[in-house]
Amino acid sequence: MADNLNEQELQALFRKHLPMKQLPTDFAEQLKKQVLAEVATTLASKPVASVTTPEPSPAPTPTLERAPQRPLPHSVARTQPATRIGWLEWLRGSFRLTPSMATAGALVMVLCLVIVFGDQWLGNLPQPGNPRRVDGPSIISSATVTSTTAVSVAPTIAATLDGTPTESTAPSTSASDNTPTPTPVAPAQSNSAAAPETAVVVAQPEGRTITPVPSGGSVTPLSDPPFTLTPNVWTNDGNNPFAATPTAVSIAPVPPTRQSSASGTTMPNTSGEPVPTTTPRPSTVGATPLPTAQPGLDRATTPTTDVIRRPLATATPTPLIVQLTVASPTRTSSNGVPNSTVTPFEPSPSPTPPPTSTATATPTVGVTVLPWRTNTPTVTPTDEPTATATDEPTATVMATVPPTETATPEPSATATRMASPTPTNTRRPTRTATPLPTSTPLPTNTPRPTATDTATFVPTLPPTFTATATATDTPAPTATDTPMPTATNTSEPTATNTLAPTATNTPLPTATDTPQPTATNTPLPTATNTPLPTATDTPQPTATPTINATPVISSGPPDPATVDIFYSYTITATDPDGPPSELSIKAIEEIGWLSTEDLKNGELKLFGTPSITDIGIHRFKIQIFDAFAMTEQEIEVTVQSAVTGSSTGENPYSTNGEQPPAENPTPTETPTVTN
Amino acid sequence: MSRRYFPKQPQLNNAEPSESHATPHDALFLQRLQAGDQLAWSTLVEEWGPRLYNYLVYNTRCEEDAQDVLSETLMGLVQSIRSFDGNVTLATFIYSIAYRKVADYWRRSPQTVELPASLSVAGPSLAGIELAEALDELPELAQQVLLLRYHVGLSVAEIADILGRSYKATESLLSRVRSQFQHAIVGAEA
Repeated sequence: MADNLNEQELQALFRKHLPMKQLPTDFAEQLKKQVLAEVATTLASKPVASVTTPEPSPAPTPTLERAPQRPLPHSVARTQPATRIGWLEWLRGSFRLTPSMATAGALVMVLCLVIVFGDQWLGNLPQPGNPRRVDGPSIISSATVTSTTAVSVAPTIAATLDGTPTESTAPSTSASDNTPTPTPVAPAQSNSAAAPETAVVVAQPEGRTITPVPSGGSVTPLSDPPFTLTPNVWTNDGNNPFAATPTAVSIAPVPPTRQSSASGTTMPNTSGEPVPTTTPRPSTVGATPLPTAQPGLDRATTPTTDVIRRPLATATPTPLIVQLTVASPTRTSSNGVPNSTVTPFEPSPSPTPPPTSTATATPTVGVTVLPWRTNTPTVTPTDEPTATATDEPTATVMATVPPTETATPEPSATATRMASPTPTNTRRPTRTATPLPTSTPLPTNTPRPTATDTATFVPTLPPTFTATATATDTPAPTATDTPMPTATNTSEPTATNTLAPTATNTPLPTATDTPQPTATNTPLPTATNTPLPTATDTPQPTATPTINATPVISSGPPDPATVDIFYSYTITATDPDGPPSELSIKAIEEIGWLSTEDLKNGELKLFGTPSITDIGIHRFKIQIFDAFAMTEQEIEVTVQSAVTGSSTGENPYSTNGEQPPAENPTPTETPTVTN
Repeated sequence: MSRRYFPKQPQLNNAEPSESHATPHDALFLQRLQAGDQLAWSTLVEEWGPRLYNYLVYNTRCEEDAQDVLSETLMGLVQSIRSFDGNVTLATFIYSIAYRKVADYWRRSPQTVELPASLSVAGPSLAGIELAEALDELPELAQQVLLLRYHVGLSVAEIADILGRSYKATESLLSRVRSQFQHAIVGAEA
């Protein structure tokens, strides 16, 4: 059956040998109830935001609404712009692209737009590193870490959670000298760089300009900062991220500061001395939960003062994305160890877990910044600042960077696919997984079919047992009943012949089959005893009523008739064993002038008028019927002339054995007839 | 690929995937499902339950386990119907969930497998045994392709979506598997 099977034949083959099974009824009902209960629990209780079906029209507009995905657990509204999803849908529908192709196409389009209009949009945003976008209000901060001090971000955040100005750092150098650094600096930073001796740690959540914070003390300007740490965060409120106003938090040339005792504020380093390396900041940075702090704070409540506030702390608990741009990566320490190393490490033991699913899936990247020793504060910008570097780590900046978000131009769409069980999502586990076992012992063993073959004989056995059971019951009454009516009805001598075999044959086989003693005893005496006396006794009395006596004619021979004279005569018959009313007489042969009439009481009337041509002897037969028999007799009627009055002189009764009556009947109605 | 929300006979003309837009009726049915309409879900269970059950029986090789996996599949469908954006057919969506549930079933199930109930109870014919043997000799992916194509009756595009392959790759795979299956049947007959 396998010679070049086409589609139809294969389909027929599968449908024939792999037949469709019916779902068990009870299970189907139970399953329906279970599903409906789940629907009532899951779906009916939650309103539907929108329907996610695309437009049926062939030319969909790119403004289709996409259904919101599953809400994030931290009530962070995913403010994914619907327009971009509509673009994807439009690309998919118009060009029949797969989702990945549509995404790639969208990426190419975005890149082209960036290339063409990038100068207008991005302005002086940092070019080497692409901004990483995150869902929800997120931050791209820009920080410039100068030499001579350690940049500690986390303590700042931790200290400013309550909204109070807690820390300010005094720059030990001017940021205006940072122009040789290859990293582009935000315009705010350039502004701040113009302001000397400021502790430029400013939080600007949304499009705010950098406000240089006066340190309030004398600042010892430093030379060119050895490198620049530039975390850039943009807010993503559903608009084009490139059109959003980048907010920069510049940790610009930070002077050595001294931290106050309890308030957490740092005083500017007026002396210009290098910051002691025993500062606890680096150690606390790594342990400080960056993105999970204070989800209740909103940007609207964020003070816009020169408080050192990380926008991360004021934003929603989305993961912090910090772009670190090392301005002078070639800078090495005195012993050849790179000053700035980016090493991945395990997630910090933050008191609260990272928000959203993306935080769990994305690794954290720890950036350990090895600042420079501040023993050479007077380095010019043109000088190579690597000479003063040490191997002493003083600051650690931790950031969580979700790689998937940064890789795609539409991070929310990618995240949606990862989280949703759509088929595109289900491919991934099923590809890598081994869904079905390799060892599938299918039908090589065939003991089951043979077992079913033998089992099919089982149902046929019980009917045979029941049949024998009914057979044992029925003979008992039939054996006793059948001899009796046959014995009584057959009074003829043949009854003796029929009785004997029936009486002996029918009870005997049933008697041997029936295990009951009563069944064996009752047929035998009745079969042997009763037929014999009845067979011998009954023929004698029952023979009498069965013999039927034939009727006889009781009247005499008819009188002779005379020509032209009306003749009438009545023949009377009698039945010895029945009433005369049951007799009927009819003439078999008709005579021309003589008519007959049955009088229904055993009498037959002969009447007519003979003519001269009828002179002579006329013979005809009559039949007399009773209930059981018939008698036939011949009648002669003589017609004689009226003048001569001749007669035949013969015996009118021609029937054999019939004697003429002893006396002649007297003619009453036919006076012309004479004997 | 054509959208369909109810089972249909297999499309034997697998030339090209058709238009990918849903009809208003299908969209309305999906809306009702997403809104939690009891009648719509009842209809869906009645229409899709037997087909899913047959697909799962031949994948789990056990009717009781197939019932369990069917229940899990429908529960998963209820929980994820809101995230179904309609860019594939409902059949693809449902069978993708079922396919994943089967994979989960085999991960947690023991390796000892009973004979298929269809073979042990129904009194198979010789051709049925040969068919099952030929299927068993094929790789798992080939078995899935054949079952989804000729037993379930899905189109090539839908199978491609379920298996996570492109249309051309699935079509090529189906052609190759068909040839393998015919050779396997010849071997089983011999």
